[in-house]
Amino acid sequence: MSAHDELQLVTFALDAECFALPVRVVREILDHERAFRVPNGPRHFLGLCNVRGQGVPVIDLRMRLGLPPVEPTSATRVLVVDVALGERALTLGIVVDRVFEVTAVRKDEIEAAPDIGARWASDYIDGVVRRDQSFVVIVNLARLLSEKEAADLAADVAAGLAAAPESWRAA
Amino acid sequence: MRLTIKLKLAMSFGIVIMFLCAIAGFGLYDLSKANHVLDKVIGFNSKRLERSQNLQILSLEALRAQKNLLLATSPDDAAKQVAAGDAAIKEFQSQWAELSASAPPERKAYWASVDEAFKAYLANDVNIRTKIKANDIAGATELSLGGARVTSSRLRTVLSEGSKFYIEGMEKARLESSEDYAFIRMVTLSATGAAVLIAAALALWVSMSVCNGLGRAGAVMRSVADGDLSWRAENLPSDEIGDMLGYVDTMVERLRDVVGGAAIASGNVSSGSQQLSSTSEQIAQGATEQAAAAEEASSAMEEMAANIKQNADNAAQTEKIARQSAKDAEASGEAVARAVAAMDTIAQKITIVQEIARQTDLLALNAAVEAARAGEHGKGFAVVASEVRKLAERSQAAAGEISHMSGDTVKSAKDAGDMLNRLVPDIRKTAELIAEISAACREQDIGASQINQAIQQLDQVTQQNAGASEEMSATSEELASQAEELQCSIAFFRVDDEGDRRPSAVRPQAKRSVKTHALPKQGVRTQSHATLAKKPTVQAQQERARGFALDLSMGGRDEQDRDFRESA
Repeated sequence: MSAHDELQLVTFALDAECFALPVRVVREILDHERAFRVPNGPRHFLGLCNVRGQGVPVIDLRMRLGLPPVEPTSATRVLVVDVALGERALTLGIVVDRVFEVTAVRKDEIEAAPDIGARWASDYIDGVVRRDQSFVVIVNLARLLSEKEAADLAADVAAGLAAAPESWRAA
Repeated sequence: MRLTIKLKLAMSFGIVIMFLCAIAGFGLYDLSKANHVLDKVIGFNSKRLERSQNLQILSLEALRAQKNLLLATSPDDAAKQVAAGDAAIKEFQSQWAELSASAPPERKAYWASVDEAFKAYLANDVNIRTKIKANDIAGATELSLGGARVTSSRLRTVLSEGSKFYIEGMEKARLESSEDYAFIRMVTLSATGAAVLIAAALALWVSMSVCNGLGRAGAVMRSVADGDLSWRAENLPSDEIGDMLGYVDTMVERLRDVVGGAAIASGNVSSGSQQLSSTSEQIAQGATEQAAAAEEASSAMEEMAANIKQNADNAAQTEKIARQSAKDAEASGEAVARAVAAMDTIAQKITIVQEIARQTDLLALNAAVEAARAGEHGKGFAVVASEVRKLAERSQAAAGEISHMSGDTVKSAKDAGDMLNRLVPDIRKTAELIAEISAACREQDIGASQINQAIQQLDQVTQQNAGASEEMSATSEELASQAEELQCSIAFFRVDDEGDRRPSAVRPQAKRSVKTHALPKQGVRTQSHATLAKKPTVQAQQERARGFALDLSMGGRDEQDRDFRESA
């Protein structure tokens, strides 16, 4: 088994379903903290979070994927990810219900997104890995966060930074 | 018109008295007539006869004085004789004057002849005296023996004639009165005879009527005395005896009623006393059963008293235990509280462990991420990170379990503490309640002894009742026999003609009924005796009453007590 035909994934859970992100986009895993809320943002934009002196926008993946929001628990985590949107690299905090592990899957294990015979917004799915009796959906954040949205988020981040406390900016 | 005895007697006595009055009147009339005759005889004839004879005596005295004068020897003597002669003459003359004056007219002539004869005598007497004065005694004697004698005898004859007349008159009156007497006797005798006859007839009539009535009354009385009350008044005479017979009839009727009522009443008394006897025997039996029941109740009460005492002991013990339990429960509560505090501390510590484990987990995860990102170089590190993570997860899980368990334990301990806290007052309350139960048991004990006493009294009363009912039975039997005697006594009276048979028919029936009553009663008695032989008899009861008393202290311990001890 070599590093070429394996993919390192960070698996996490949203509700009862298991999702995964490639390890290379995950910078850090943090405890959930209440985000600094930025007014006039989209519903899934929770606000800003201080990650080692850097203001990072935090989004709720559940809301983004159309799931109902839940109260954060002790297992709730924030995945700090670096998303490459074109030539820009965006650092985001993604709130997930819990983080399972860092695991490796063979690339041949990865299946394509399910085809239901019609066009649907399945672009964010890189693939589906069958694990035990369930499935793990590999999420493509770059596709999930559309161009426009990413721009909006960037604007929001700018606005949020402007409104953020002085200590943050100093950091 | 009502011919009462009074009227009859009045009539009879009136008639007799009438006769008596008539006879008495007639007798009085005749007696007055006889008295008149006697007056005439005594007051006229005999007096005049006496005076007439007195005249004779006076004439003789005058003659004797004349003769004595002739024979006088002295002048004094002569004078004395003259004086005596004068006195006699004077007396004669006065007597004559009276008689002559009072003589009836047809006798005047006689008295004139007497006067004439005396005057003749007196003339001779004067002559003689003259001669004597002249001492011519011989002439005087001659005259005295001659002419004077003629005149004096003439006077004497006349005077004796007068006496004779009166004697004859008296004889005539005697004859008349004897005739009257004969008539009066005849009339009186005949009237008396008639009166006697009529009185006898009337007396016979009255006595016949009275005797007849009294005889009827007597017969009625005798028949009543013989006990025959069948007499009824008929054809009553309309007098007092009739009234009396009417009253007697009323009396007999009342007696009939009374006797009939008494007979019925005595029959009732007899049957009633039979019933009373049987009832009192039932009462006696009932009293016996009552006494037995009272005895049973007494023994049951004794058992109960023992149970109550046992209960009281148990309750006291339970109270002690409950107090100890309360104390223990309080201690347990405190212990639980301490345990809870300890558990809280543990939980706090565990959260620290948990936090550490979580953070370790996070760190391991990040390390894994870093190792993965380092590619091939980070592989060993990834393994370490994985192991660390596993440890962290295990310690987290263990901490979670411990936390969970400690939470559960705390909850349980808190529950236990709450329960104990609730339990303590409950146990205290229980102890108090048990104390109350204990007190109640003591009171129950007292009450049980009182009940026992009461039952004892009840038993005594029952014995007395049994005795009293026995006495009552005897008394009622006595009463029955006396009622029978009364019936026999009353049977003496025959109320009616048909009643001759009726009371006798009633009597044997009554006797028979008495017997028929008596026979089953005897049977009942023997039966009751037979049953009483099994059961305690009244006599036995009474004997027991003398020597039996419920003993409250004899309850003692028995086998049943053990159960209570075990339960305690």
